[in-house]
Amino acid sequence: MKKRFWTRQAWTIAKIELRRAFFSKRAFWVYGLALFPALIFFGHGIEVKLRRDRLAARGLTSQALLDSTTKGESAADVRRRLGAPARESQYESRRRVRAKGEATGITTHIIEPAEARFVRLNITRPSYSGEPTARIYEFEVYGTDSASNLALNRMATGSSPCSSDQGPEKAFNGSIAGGRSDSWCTHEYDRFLQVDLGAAHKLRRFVVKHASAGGEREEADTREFNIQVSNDGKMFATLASSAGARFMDERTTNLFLTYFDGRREAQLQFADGKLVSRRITPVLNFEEDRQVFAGVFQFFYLRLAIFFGCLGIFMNLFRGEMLDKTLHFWLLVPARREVLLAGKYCAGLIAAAVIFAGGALLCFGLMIWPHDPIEVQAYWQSAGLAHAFWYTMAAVLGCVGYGSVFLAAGLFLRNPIIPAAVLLGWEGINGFLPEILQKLSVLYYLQSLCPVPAPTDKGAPALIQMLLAPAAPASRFWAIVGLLIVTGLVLCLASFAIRRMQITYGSDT
Amino acid sequence: MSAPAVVFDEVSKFYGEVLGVNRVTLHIPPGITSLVGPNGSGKTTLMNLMTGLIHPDRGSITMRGLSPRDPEHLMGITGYATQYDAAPRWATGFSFITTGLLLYGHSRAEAETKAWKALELLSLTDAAHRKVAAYSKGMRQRVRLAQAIAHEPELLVLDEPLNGLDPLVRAETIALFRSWAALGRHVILSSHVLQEVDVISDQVILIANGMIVAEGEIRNVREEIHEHPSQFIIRCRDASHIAALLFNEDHITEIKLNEDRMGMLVMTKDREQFSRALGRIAGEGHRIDSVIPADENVDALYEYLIGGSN
Amino acid sequence: MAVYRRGYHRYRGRITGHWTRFMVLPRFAWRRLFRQRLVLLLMVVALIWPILCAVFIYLTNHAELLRGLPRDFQNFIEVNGNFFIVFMRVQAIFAIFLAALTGPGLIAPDLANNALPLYFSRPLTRSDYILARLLVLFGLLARITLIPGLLLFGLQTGMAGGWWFWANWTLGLGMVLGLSLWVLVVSMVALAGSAYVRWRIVAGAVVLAFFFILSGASVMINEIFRVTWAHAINPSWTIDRLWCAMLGVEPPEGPGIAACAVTMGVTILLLLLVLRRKLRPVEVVS
Repeated sequence: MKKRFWTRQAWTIAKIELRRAFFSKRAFWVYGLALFPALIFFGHGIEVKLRRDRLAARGLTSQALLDSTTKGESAADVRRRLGAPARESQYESRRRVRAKGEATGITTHIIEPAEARFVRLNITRPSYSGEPTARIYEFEVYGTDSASNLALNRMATGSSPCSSDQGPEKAFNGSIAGGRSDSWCTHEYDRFLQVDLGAAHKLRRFVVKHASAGGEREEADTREFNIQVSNDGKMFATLASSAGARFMDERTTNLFLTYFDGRREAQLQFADGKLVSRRITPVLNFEEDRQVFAGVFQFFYLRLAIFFGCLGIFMNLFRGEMLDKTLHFWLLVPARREVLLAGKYCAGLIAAAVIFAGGALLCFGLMIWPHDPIEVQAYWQSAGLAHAFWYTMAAVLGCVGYGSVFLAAGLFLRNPIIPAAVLLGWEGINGFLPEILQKLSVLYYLQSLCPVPAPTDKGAPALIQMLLAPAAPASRFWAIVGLLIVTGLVLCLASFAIRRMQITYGSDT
Repeated sequence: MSAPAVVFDEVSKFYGEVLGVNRVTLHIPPGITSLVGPNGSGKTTLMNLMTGLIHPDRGSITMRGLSPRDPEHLMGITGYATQYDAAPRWATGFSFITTGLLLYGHSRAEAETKAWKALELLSLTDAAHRKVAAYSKGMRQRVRLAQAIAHEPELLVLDEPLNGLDPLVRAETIALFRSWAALGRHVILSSHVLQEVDVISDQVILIANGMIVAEGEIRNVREEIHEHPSQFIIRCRDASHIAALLFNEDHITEIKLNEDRMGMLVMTKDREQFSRALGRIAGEGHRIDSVIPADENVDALYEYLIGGSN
Repeated sequence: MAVYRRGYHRYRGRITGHWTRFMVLPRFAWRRLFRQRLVLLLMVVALIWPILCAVFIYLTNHAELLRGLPRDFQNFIEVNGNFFIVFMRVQAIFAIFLAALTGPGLIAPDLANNALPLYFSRPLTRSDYILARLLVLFGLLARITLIPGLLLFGLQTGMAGGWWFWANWTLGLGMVLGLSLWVLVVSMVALAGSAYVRWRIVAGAVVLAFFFILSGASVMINEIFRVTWAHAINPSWTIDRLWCAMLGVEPPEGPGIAACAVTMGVTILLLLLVLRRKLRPVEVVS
């Protein structure tokens, strides 16, 4: 008898709170969060329909013809075979590139035979990247017989090196495979490298091995330098110079032709009249859309929309009233404190569940809407209904779980945002944690309930993907039971808190 | 002891290190009781303790046999009009009171009738359907009062209820309190307006710095204060002569003659002896028109007990 | 008996300057904030990453310590635009959390306790007030973003030599400008949230929600529409794109600099509008 009376009281409390939860100005933001994904899916559906209509306006091409295009085919041929494209566009692109075939890592300079003892390499522009560091891995001097490197291991001088193991002798040691310490490097403004051949020789050819020959980036190659020779070490004559590889403008005419076969769209890219790339994508891909929905549901809806929505709704129930200074009205009601807690929790839960489950179902429906009715029918009869059910279930249980946590946080702590921020951060890095810790989050269990596994982020760098090792999902039964047990425990704790609760206005804000 | 009472037993409440109330022991019988004290003395704390909004750190409280930790039963017979000015933002005056009544278990029809009655009592019927947040300060005061009395509670706890009310409504409200007190209900209110407290209260509780300074009926409290001589105002024809006669008595400390020579203010250390002396003087043929105690009121009590001590 | 005739004179001495008066607000706010333990804790945690970066700089400049490692790795260890961008990205996240913690307490209590008339009845304009609050947050956030960044830049210059500075001073400038812009945006969001919502606690949630939800929403739109332009509504992405341009790092695929700059500018303007609208000393309830 008592229990029925309490239940009735709790329901009265819930009814009063429900009005506030559904119709207050704050609820507006919660509605927005729940309906935003549905809006985006709706927009996508409209966009696809419009695109299909636009592409089909000029007529359809057959499927076989689309598949028959090959690389290297000319634009004229394609136009002749496939007919007028659904869409076409053209633009010129320009690129500055280093002229191919010219100096890169190893430069060779052949001169009229000249007699000299000292050879000097002067660097006027040290690198392509603009870095004021000059680096020479090897400087070889060949005489008229071109057999041996006359400069090998000869005495070398040069501008002060970057560090003690990058002195001028490294450019004449015969090897370039030792990395940076096997090269000569200088930061000085006046950059030169000079070798004393020991005696005057007849010189014919110089070979300079720059940074990219030693394994570094191409941008570090020497850009502009000259080679001088001398007999006495004082008077030098310039015999060879290099202005580096020149840049030139590479101009391409890009032509894009789009063909449509009723289901698939083919984008053909022609560079200078020849087909270079072909991309055939279906305008609508039901399988892919379902995967996208799974991703959106798990990463946006559960993690952010329901999280922040429940934060708003449930925190308002007690902490919000404390801040509004209206909580004492509830405590002056002739009801047990636990009944008050139950009533408010129910109100919050009903509001959150209705809003978010409804939003999820609406979103699901809008995702399905633009697709081919036959495909949809097949899907619905096989797995569709079950999927819709589980998505709804996941949304509702998300509200149950997050709701109880935030309600309790609002009762215990003066600033419940701090645990919320911690929870948000914890679930954000959940993918990086070891398996045991991964099971310690509400999101893990909710994700176990989702019928379609979310696609992993292909765009993330390999390093990140290696670290992200999601734990195998728990069984659905245990996920539900686990969540309900956790919720029950949290609410028990909350009832302790509410029995001890006192009104202390004016100590916040 | 047979009448239900509000009992505080060695109740202390600390807010962290700040003292709220200290070792309060009270026994409040039915009737109109006033809590009087300076700002910050603990009046609101006592009222919040009575209604269970805060819990005592030490001691126990019994409200007509019920504990404040049992809101289910206590709140059914208690009405509390707080000082907190906030009201739920969605509420109109009418819906505010109706909602409260619904939570008491009344049916909607019953709740609406009672709400309307309460609003009529406090002359809020015109504004009943406007949002409470848009009321003036006095109207908000009245709607809080209406909400506290709507379910006809046995225990009324009111924090400065007459604040901001115009004289007509004030008189009506006081009449209401009186009628309730006559029914054997508790009306506990706090006030700063000492003249009113004088007029309407049966009991008075003086509180300062969290400690009870005095408790009981006004006259009894006055009688127990011996440090201050009692003051009486005497109206008579031959004031100087009577004054001379009175000066012979040793218990008289001071006499101030009125300007019109038709009355005087007498301060005496002993009321009994003074009344006997007056009797003798009157018996000797001198005409005394009236004798009025000048300081058997809360104003004087306040000044004697609380005023100088700060 | 008019007292004034007895010699009351208005104060005619020196009056402190406008900026001295202005600095009163930030000074007290800083004092209050640095007494909170949670703020200090978060700032200490936020300095762990700069310390790791300093170790990296040390390793870069002492190549002998790296001799045994593979060539690719050695090339990777270089202090350039990429290094600074990674540093800035991590510190940017800490800036969001710190702003969410401290920002709400700056304006919301003034609104809730009706203190604005007290401020504006003194020679303090609304712009002064907003600027003062902005300065409080700026000073706080600069300690975990700009100052460690400049110290790292200085460390690298000291270890590598003056030539590195002349080659890379644009990196330093880009870092300072980029971080200042981010700190400005985050501070504006925190202040606008604090003014719009009025309760300190909820304002903190609003600041977090602003960044996380916009980020999630932009990814969602991109996924559903199979496009990349939705990155423009994600403040973290747009600021990252601007940083890539400032530091000469290769940018990710998506909207260009112009779109990002425009959205940033529009965001700041909108936030400023919200602030000016909400900071009124008078409110009418109907």
